[in-house]
Amino acid sequence: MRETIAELLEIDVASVRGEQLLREDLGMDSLTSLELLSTLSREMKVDLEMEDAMEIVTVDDTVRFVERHLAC
Amino acid sequence: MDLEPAVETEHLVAEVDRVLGVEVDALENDRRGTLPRRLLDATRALGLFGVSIPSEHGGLGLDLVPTCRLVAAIARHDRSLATCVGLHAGLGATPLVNLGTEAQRATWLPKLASGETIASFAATEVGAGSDLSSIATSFEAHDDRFLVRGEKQYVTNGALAGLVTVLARERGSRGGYALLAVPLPQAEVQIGAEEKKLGLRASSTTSLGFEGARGERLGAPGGGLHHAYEALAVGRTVLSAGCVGTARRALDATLAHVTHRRQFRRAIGEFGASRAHVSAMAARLFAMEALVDHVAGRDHGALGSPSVVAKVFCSEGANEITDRALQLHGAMGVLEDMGIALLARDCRVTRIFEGANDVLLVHLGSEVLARGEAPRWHTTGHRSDDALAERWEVAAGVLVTVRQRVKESLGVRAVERQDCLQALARAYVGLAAASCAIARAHVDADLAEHAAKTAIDEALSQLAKLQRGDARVELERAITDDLYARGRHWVWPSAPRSPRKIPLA
Ligand SMILES: Cc1cc2nc3c(=O)[nH]c(=O)nc-3n(C[C@H](O)[C@H](O)[C@H](O)COP(=O)(O)OP(=O)(O)OC[C@H]3O[C@@H](n4cnc5c(N)ncnc54)[C@H](O)[C@@H]3O)c2cc1C
Repeated sequence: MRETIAELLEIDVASVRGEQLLREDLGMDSLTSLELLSTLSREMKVDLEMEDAMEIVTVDDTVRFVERHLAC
Repeated sequence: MDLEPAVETEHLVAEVDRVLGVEVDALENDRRGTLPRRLLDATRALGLFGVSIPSEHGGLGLDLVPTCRLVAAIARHDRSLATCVGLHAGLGATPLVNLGTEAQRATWLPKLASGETIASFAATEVGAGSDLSSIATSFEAHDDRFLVRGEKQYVTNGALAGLVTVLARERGSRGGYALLAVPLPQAEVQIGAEEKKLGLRASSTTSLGFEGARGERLGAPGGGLHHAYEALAVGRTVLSAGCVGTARRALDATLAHVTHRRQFRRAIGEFGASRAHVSAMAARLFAMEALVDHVAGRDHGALGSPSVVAKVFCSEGANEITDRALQLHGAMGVLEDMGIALLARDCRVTRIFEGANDVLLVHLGSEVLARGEAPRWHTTGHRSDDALAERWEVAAGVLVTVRQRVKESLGVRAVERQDCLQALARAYVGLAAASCAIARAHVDADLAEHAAKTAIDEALSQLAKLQRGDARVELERAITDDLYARGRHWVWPSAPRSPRKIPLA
C-alpha cells in the first residue's frame, strides 16, 4: 500500500507513514487522493461511494479500506 | 480619507483612470517589452502597490472587492501593469499579510505598500506546472535560517522583485512543503533573461535560480502547499478582475467602432449579427463583474472553488469578448496600431496561468461531485427576476440530478472521467455566473436576463452532453491512441480504416 502511494506521488517509500494525512502531509490535493482511491477500487473490483471515499483521510485509513475488502 | 469605503473606491478608480490615461501608452510598452520607470513611479504615487496591505503598515488596507475594482481599472489601460500590480497585491503580498510574523510583517509590508519593494511568487518549475506537488526546489533549515536551492520558471515580476515567495520542499525524507520569503537581490539568486511572450510583453517574466539563497519560512512547517493554494485563490480572484478590465476596454472600443464605421450605407452596429455580438459582449461582461464582486466579497478562507469559478468564467469571457471585438473591427482588428490585437494577445494567457483552465475544471468538477450543491449565490426577492430565478432553479435541479446519477453509476471512479468532471464543473460555473447576474437584475434587467439565460443554457448543454458522453469518450480515446502511435511524419491512412463499432449517441 505504501508502495502504491509512494509510486503515485513519485516519492521515497520510506517517507510514507501511517498517520500521515493524504492531503496535507503528502501533498496530494483532494483530486489526487480521490484518484488513488479510484485506482484501488478499480484494482480490487469493489465499488467505493464518493461519500465513503471522502472519509478516507490518512494512509492508515487507506490501508484499512484495502484490508477490509481483501478480507471479504 | 474619511469617506465611505465604496465612495473611496470610486474616487480612487477615477484617479487611476485620470493618471493612467495620461501616463500609459500600452502599445509602446508592449513594443519595448517593459514598463517604463516613470509609469511605475506614477503607480507608486497612486498607492496602488499598497492596495491590499493593511493600513497600519502603510497600505490602503482595502478588501478584495475594492482591490479587484482597482486592478480592473488598471487593466483597462495596460494589462502588463495590471499583471505587475495584481501579482504583487495578490499572490505576492497575501502570504506575508496572512502568515507573516509581526517582525516579518513590520520589515516587509511597509516596503511592499510603498512599492519600493515589488513582490513575486515562484511556484512553477520545469517539471512542475499544473502539478505543484511535484516541485524539486528544496530548502534546508539551519536554526531559524532557511537555505533554498532549485530553479523556478515563469516568475512574474521576476526582474523587478525585491521579495519572492518560494514554494519549496524540505530536503530529506520527510519532505514537507513550505513557503519561504526570499529577499532580492542576493548573490545566491540568479535572475534569468526576460521571456518573449505572445502578450503581456511589458510584464516581467523570468526564471529564478536559487543556489543556497537565504529565506524565512512563512506560516506553519509543512503547510506550504496549503498556503500556496490559499494565496492562489486570492491571486485568481484578482486575475479575474484583470479580465473584467480587459473586457471592458474591448467593449468600449467596439462600441466606438461599430457606431462609426459604415458599410452598405449603415453603421455596422445596426446589423443584426453585430447586435448579437455586442449584446453578448455586454451581457458576458455584466456577469463577469457581478461574479468577481461576489467572489471577492467572500471570506478569504472560502475562496477556493469560487475563485476557480471566477477565473474560468472571466478568462474565457475576456477571450471571447476580445475575439468578438477583433471580428467586428475587421481588418483593423488585426493591425497592431489599433490596440485590439494587443487586447487579444494580452488576455490569451489568462486561460493558462494561475492554474490552466482545463486542470481547474477537473478539480472543480471533483469538488462538485463530492459535495456540490448548486451555487445559489443570489438572494431571491427582486420582483423583476422571478422568471429568471425560476429558470435557474430548474437548471440547478438538473445539475443535482445528473450529479447524483454520475455518483451512483460510477462511485469514486468518476474522478477518472475528466469529461464528467469538466461538464459538471462547467455547468456549475454557468449556474454561478447566472446566479450573480440574477442578483444584479436591479442594475440592468435586460443585461441580467441575457447574461443569465446564456449561462443557464450553457450549463444545461453541458449536462446534456455529459449524459451522452460515453460513446464520445471512446471515440476520442480511439482517435488519440491512433494519432499518438503514428510517430512524427504521419499521413492520413491511404486505405479506409474499418469504422469502430461505436453506437452513435
Ligand atoms: C506569463 C506567465 C506568467 C506566469 N507567472 C507565474 C508566476 O508568477 N509564478 C508561478 O509560479 N508561475 C507562473 N506562471 C506559470 C503558470 O502558472 C503555469 O504555466 C501554469 O500553472 C500551467 O503550467 P504549465 O505551463 O507547466 O502547463 P502544463 O502543466 O504542462 O499543462 C499544459 C496543458 O496540459 C493540460 N493538462 C495538464 N494537466 C492536466 C490534467 N491534470 N488534466 C487535464 N489536462 C491537463 C492542460 O490543457 C494544460 O493547459 C506563469 C506563466 C506565464 C505564461
